[in-house]
Amino acid sequence: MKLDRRVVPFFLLAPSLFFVLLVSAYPIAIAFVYAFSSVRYVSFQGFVGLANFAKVLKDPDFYQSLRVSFVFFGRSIVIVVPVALLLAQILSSEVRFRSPFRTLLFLPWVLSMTVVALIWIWLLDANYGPITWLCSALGLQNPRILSSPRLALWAVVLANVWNTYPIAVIFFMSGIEALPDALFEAAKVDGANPLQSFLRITLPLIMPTLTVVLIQLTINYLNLVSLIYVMTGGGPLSATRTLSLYTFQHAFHLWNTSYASALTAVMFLMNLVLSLVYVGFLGGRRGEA
Amino acid sequence: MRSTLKEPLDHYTVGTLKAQRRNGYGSRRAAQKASLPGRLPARKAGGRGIIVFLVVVTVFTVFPVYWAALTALKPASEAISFPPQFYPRHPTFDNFVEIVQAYTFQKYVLNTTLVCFGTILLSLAVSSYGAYALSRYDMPYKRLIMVMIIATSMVPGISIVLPLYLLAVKLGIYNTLGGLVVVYAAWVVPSELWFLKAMMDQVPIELEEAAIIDGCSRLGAFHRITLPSSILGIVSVSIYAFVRVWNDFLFSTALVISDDRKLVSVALYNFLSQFGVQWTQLMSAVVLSSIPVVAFFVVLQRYYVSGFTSGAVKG
Repeated sequence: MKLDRRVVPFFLLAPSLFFVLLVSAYPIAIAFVYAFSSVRYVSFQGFVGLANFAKVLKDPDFYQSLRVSFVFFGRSIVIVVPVALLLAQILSSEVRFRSPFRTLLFLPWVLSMTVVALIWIWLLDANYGPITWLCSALGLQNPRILSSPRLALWAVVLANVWNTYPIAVIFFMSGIEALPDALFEAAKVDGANPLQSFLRITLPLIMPTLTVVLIQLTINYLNLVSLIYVMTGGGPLSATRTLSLYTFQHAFHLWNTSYASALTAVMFLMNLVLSLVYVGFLGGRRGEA
Repeated sequence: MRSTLKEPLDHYTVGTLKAQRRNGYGSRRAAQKASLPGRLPARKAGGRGIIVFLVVVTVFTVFPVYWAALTALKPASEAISFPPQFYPRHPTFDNFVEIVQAYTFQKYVLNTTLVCFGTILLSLAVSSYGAYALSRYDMPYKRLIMVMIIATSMVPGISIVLPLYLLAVKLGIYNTLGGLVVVYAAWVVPSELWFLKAMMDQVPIELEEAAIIDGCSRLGAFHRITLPSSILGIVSVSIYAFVRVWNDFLFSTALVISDDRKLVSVALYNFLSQFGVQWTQLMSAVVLSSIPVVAFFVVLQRYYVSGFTSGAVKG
């Protein structure tokens, strides 16, 4: 009976842990081992030390795609967070809009990235797209948005914003609705206007939610592949090729297994730093509570 | 967050009663309004600005979907007209009929459905026992294991797809639907564990104890009491797994190469890269392939959202 108690939970949990390790420790370890090795397609050729990382640091395309990644991430987040915050605030105070809006918000969010990309390609179509039509009706030059190196990244940002802002709204709404009403009533009694009560009460109190949303969006945006891959494939002239897409291309188009592994390792370290910030914030919050 | 700030109950009740007196008793809207008072009411805070904002957001959110559905309903000649037509002049279901009848589309939907259900069955068979162990037993390093599980659920696909591809090639499960099922199951297990553990924590252990006294074994009690009591959680995680797999592009494009084993999302992409794409047909394929996920969400959004945000907000 005593043995039973210790062994049973292990047997119950072992298959789960096997699966968890299969998508975490195992692939990450392999990526790091291969990052330090020479690998021809799938066959290991021997360790090469830091050679792959030296190649990464000398690769101008690496820096270019890193820059695109951060521009893409920065633009997306600067649009998504304020819009989602404002919308969440309005929807939590104006109950009559809330439930129809909630259903609407689901639409862009549940669609797959492939579907989102296809819809936006068609919206931006240079000959028949309604956005192209709108642009030329407003007298704007060069409505061939997806073939312009300057505008294509904005187009991808727009599609990404459309796809991901709903989840930010849903998070913010659950954060705002968890706040006690008494606070807002007290502020109203004291003569605070809605803007003041938003800035002085809502915003400081939903900081934990804001942090969670920021970090999650950061990880999502910096690692995005499918949407950009389908929408532009990184073009035109690598104007929309983010680091994640660059990694994917090295892995699955150029079959540079070891170089792609080195890029994966670099990206993983970036994610790890961001995740530690995330975990750190959650831990800090638990400490306060 | 709820626990950090205690809500004074009398305040809430007084507000509700007042509002009911104002707007008539039994009015549901009155009760709703009272429960969420005074946060930036549109009428006071520049109502017009807020209405404009809401209209812009609504158009931005809905128009792309409307345009996709509209294109799917247009005859091909009408879709390629400039300036574009914003309502259907001659709506037709021909595009849908052609897509549904296409052997390849049927094949892709069948593949994706098989992989989705395979993933749900395999991942639940694994994660329900794991969640039970995490919920009911003490074990060394339990906290560490929980942190590892939640961290794994945040590892992005691009970080793991290449090693998994190499593994699949070595094991000989590359380019098989079974291989996809294994990878997808592993991919959804961490979130399932986390969510099902939370669900099982809420099932009173006394129920199990009663069953054990009545002659059940511990596992028998799990099968007969705890598992059926967590059915809502099981349904939620199944839908979550379904949507993740149905919508995934990265793994299915990396792990399958043969055309007859492709999943829907990859097939849609290939359709695009073919020469001379027919947008009316492509958009009807887009609409058809999105129906399952949209339907699930409209019906079950409440459970899904609570599950999704509870995992991340409460950490």
